[in-house]
Parts: sequence; C-alpha cells; structure tokens
Amino acid sequence: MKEFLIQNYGILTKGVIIFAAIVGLLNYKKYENSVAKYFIYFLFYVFFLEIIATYPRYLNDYDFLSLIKDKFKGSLFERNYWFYTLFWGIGSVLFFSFYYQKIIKNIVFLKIIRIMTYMFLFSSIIYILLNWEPFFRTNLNFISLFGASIILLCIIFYFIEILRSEKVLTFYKSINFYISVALLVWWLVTRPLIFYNIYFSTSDWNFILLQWEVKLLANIFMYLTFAFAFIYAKPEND
Amino acid sequence: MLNQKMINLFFVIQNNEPAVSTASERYLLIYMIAVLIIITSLIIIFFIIFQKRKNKLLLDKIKQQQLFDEELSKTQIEIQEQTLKNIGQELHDNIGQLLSVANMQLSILATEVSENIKEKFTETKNVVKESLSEVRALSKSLNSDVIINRGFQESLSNEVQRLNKLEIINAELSIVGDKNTFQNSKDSIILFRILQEFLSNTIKYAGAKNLKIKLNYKSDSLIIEASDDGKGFNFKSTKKGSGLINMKSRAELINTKFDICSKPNEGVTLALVYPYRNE
Repeated sequence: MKEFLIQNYGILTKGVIIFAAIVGLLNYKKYENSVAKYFIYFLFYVFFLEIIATYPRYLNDYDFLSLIKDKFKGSLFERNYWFYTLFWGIGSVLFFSFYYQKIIKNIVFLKIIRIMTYMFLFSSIIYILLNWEPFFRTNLNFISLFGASIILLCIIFYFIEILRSEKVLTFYKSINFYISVALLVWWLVTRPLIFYNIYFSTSDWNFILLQWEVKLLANIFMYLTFAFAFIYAKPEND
Repeated sequence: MLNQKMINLFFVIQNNEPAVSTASERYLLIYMIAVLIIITSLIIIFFIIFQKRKNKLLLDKIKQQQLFDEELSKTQIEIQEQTLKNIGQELHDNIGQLLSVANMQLSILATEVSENIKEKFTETKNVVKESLSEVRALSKSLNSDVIINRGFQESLSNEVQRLNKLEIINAELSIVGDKNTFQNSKDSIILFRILQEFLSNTIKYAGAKNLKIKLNYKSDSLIIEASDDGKGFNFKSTKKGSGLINMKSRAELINTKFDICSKPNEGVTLALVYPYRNE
C-alpha cells in the first residue's frame, strides 16, 4: 500500500481530474448555453495546473533537465508551494467566487460574495508580500482558510437560495447541486490537514501517507461526483 | 553509554531535525476529518430531506388548485345545464302548450272561415304548427335529460335536421363505425354542447352555406370533425371569445384533444379526439 501510494499518488489524482474533465467535454453540447460550461473549462485548468505543479519531481526524475535543476537548486523556486498557493489557493477561489456569482440571483448574497472576494484578493497579496520567504517554503494557512471560508460561503448561499426558491423542484437534476455538495465535502475535509503541514517532510512518512490517503479519497470523491453530475444532470434545471 | 545517548539526543535537537508527528496527533487528525465528514453529510441529508418535503408541499398545492379549478368548471357546466333544462321545459310546457291551444282553436275556426281568406288562414295555421314543432325540437336539444335519453348521435342528427328545416344552412352528418362503442352519457352531453356551441357560432358569424359533421367511432376513441365553408377568421389576431374558451375548457374536462383551425375565407374546422372513458 505504501509503495503503491508513493508510486501512483500523482497519477491517480491527475487521472480522476482528467476523467471528470473529459466527461465534461463529452457532455459539452448539453451545457453549452449554461454556466456549467465555465466549470468544464475550469477542470482543464486544474488538470494543466497539476501537471505543471509537479515540476520539482520532473527535475529529479529526468536527467536532461539536470542543467536547469542546478539553477533551481537553492533558489526560491526549488519547491512548488508558491505555485499551488497562487493558482489553486487563490485561483480556484476566484473562479468559484465568479462561478457562484453567475448562479446566485439574490442581490445581497452577490454583494457579500463580491466584497469578500476583493478582501480575500487584497489581503492575500499583502500577506504574501509580508511573508515572502514562507510563501516559497510552505503553505500559507491564512490564504487556505480564508479561501475555504469564501467557497463555503458561496455554497451556503447557494443552498439557502435553493431552499427559498419555489422554482427548483428538481434540484437533484441540477449540476450545481452536485458541484456544491462535492466542493463542500472537499473543502471541509481537507482543511484540518493544513495545520499538520509542519510534519510534511520525508522524515515522517507515516504522516505523509495519511495525508495522501485523505487527499486522494477526497479528490476521487470530488471529481467522480463531478463526472457523475455531468452525465446525470440536466442543464434546464439549474 | 547513557552519556552517549544524551549527547545523541542533544545533537538531534541541535541539528534542528524536522518535527515528526506522533501517533496521537495523527489519530486526532483522522478523528477531525471523520467528524467533518459526518457533519457535511448531515448538512446534505438535511438539505435533501427539507427540499423533498418542500417539493411535496408545492406539488400538493398545485394539485389542489387543479382540483379546485376542475370542480369549478364542473359546477359551472352543471348550472348551465340546469338553466338550459329549465328553459327547455318552459318552452315545451308553456309556449308549446299555448301554441298547441292556438293550433287547436285555429283548427276549430277553420270550418267557419269564409272562402276568400281560407288560403291565408291555412298559411297562418301552418306557421303556428311549424312553430310548435320548432319549439318542441328546440326544447329537446336544450334538455340534457332528453339528450341522454336519445343518445348523442340521435340528438346530433336531430340538431342537424332542425338546422336544415330552418333553411339557414345546408348541414350534413356522416357516421363511420358503430355508435354503441360510445356509452358515457355525461361525456356525451359535454361533447354535444361543444358541437352546439360550434354550430351556433357558425350560424351567427360565419355566413356559411354548407356544414359538415363527421363522427368516426374507433375502438378506443371517437373522432369528431366539423367544418363549415364560411368566412372564417384569423386565428392569431382574433381575440378568443368566451365561446371558444368554454369549448376548450369543456374538452379538457373530458380529456379530449381539442383542435380548431381557421383562415380568413377558408371556413373553420373543428377536430375533437375523445378517448372513451367509463362513467
């Protein structure tokens, strides 16, 4: 199990992402005129993000990159924390904020989401500037937690709006319902992990494996739910 | 030996080795995640149950509204039928009676009339006689009990004969299939009233010369087609009058497919597809 995880963790994660993205692409026609098409774009963005983000590993694995490897060695870009923070920690939050602003109709909710997103963006930039060194060495808990709270806020607003509305009688046929459920589980479940980041080093394999198991299960659950939703849902129920 | 260990430990601390998690810390993490999974699933389950419940209430409300509407139009039709029946009875018992008395007295008088006005007198007498039979026929077509008694097809052919006798229009009724397949008397009144409305519209507005009604009894449904060759109307631009709306809502009441189409100067065609229902 341990060996298997070490060998295949990356491939499994990327596999479920590209699976969800391709299922989305196959159903693209269905969602062409709905907001869900942005979500299909987003899945491809995540897939390429994952591929680029593993660059430290490529530098280790491929000999022909050894020249560049020396350049990276010891520089701020040796690890990929900064990349994840920028493009997943901030990027995905901005995307979901945009996405839910397209779905939610309530003006008060929209205003709150918009203000929170701006606050998140500016405070993140300031926080990165103030913590320049840690930005490249580790995850920034502040950004992860603030980002998660914005996404959870969007999901809660979406749920409240569905419960209040009289139109959506067939919520279980709506793709946004499944996206919201998957996101809610993923963001809530993976957040405790960030407090344990100090243990994420090669000298503590017990923790790394645990974290990988949790993250892998969360990812598989989330992306398979997306894939299922693409097939099952009907865009006219959004 | 102990000393050596102490030195080692000291060295480790000095070297600032990366921290290692303890088993209890990892269990705490697992526990936290489990709790979060339970909480999120509870939230989702609550959401689904609440939403289902709400949907059920909404559907019930819609159903109730539909039932109410149906009941309302049923009552309207009942009231209308009652009124028509009353009028029919009045026509038959009162005016009919008066006319037949007049007819009788004219017959008695006929012997005493002088030769020079005899012809005119007979003419008048015939007019009175005709009015009497006209009033009787009309009263029969108004009284729903009579319609039930005679049956749908008989009543309809009677109506067609009445129109032909009045010489307003040249009406024609053609029948395909066996009339015994259609037995529902309540529905037959509604169908009859729809056709009656169509006929009266044709006479009032269309200025048509010919009128054709075709009954086609199939094994599972009755297809009725009625068409005139009058001036027709533009279906889109004409505001729907109460007659049209009444016909449509009546048809809906007995699950009948109602289709009316018309173009200016091409007459009007009404098509009804009535699936048989048990009473």
